[in-house]
Amino acid sequence: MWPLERRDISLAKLKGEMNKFGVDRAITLSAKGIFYDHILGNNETNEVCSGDPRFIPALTVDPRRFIGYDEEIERRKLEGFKILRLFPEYQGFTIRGSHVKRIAAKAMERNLPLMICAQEGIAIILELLREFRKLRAILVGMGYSEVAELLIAMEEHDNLYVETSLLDSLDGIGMIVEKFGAERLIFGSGAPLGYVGSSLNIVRRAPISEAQKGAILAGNIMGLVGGG
Amino acid sequence: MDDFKIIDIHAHYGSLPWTPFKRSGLEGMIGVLDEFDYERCIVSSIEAIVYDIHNGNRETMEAVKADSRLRGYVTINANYVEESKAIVEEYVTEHGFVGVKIHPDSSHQPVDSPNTLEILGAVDKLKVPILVHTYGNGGVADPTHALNVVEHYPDLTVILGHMGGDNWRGGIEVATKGDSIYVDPCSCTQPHSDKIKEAKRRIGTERILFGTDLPLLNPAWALGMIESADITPREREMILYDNAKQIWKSI
Repeated sequence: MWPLERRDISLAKLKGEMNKFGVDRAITLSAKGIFYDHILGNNETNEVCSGDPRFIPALTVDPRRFIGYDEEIERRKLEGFKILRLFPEYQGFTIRGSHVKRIAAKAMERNLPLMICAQEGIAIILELLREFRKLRAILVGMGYSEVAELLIAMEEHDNLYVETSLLDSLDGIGMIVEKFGAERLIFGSGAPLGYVGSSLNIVRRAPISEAQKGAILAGNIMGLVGGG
Repeated sequence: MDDFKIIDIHAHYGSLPWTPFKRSGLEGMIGVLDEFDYERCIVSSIEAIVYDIHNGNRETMEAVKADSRLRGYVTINANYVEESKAIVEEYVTEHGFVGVKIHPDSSHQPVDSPNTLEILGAVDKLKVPILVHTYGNGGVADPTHALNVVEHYPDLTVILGHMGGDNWRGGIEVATKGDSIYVDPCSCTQPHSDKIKEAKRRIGTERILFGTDLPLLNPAWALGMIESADITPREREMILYDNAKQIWKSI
């Protein structure tokens, strides 16, 4: 269920979108873990992903709950979860919080990339990365107005990756590839809430090589999560 | 999608000097027209929207003359009523511009402000459509402001640019109030993958137009929305081309 408005985020809908656009695999998680209970949500994610190799599980932890976060991350890592996703945009916590820092430290220790939006600005993400230099972070939801700051942030931190779903300016993807190569761009769509066709188009029509497109669409993320 | 003819009814001309992006200006624009095989692209001036209506509209006129696929919207600024009225008259009657662009977030005046309504009196007489930037809920760009425009000028064609943006349901709701109101769903806000489907359900495919916000946004994005929508090939053709031809028959 997507509680913010009436939307179909069922597994069937997600599979339908993947089939329609030829998406082979998807990193996914349960919305229950975002809005209600991260343990129940992670259970649901595990159930779905362990039954279908097309899905790569992402775990989430709600920093506002905090207690037991380390056991939860340990458990999910053993179950095969590949990425930690935090949701400040829905849960309202600050990335500067000491609870988030503990969680980030644990993710770094367990070699889990952290996927997060820059709700409070890219500068705050950089603060986190300066403290946890080996943490690999994937910024989601970066749009055209953030590209200038991204170029600086990516220069400062080799462990900063960018998800492409909203890099929809004419030059956004091309400029990043020109400066840093394609290795730190990761394809995302937000499916089934977002338009998969749009997200795919901006990569496929970017002024970059086919090999670079392939890296963005699949190779880079598979490298990050250890082959899935 | 490659087989469909395209009329982009929401594009801009000029550079984006407050961004690091390079693919703008006439050369960048022509490259995009070629790449996406546009038949027509209706542009408004970026400079006129954010700064100077005189220089911006003049530069746009020069661009429109330079490429036969381009058509122009004349951009007004509701803080300059008499100048805007004169510019509308000049660019539509003398230079063949095909519509009027209104950007409430730039002028800080809603499309139904007294100033704007006065300018729209001049626009109405010229019988050209207006493209209004609409975005959000409760601010100057809230799509509900368009309802007063329709009340004052029932024969004026009103296009809700961005369809209200993150308030796209509000944009569609406004469009249900009058047959002269069209929507252009371009914008990158997520999670909103049902926008076109919902617009079709509420107002019909006939009043959905194809816009991109070029060169700020990549047309690949808006085309992807059309590809992703649960609509028939005929409906795609209508959105990408035919519906615009109904508004601008001789474009």
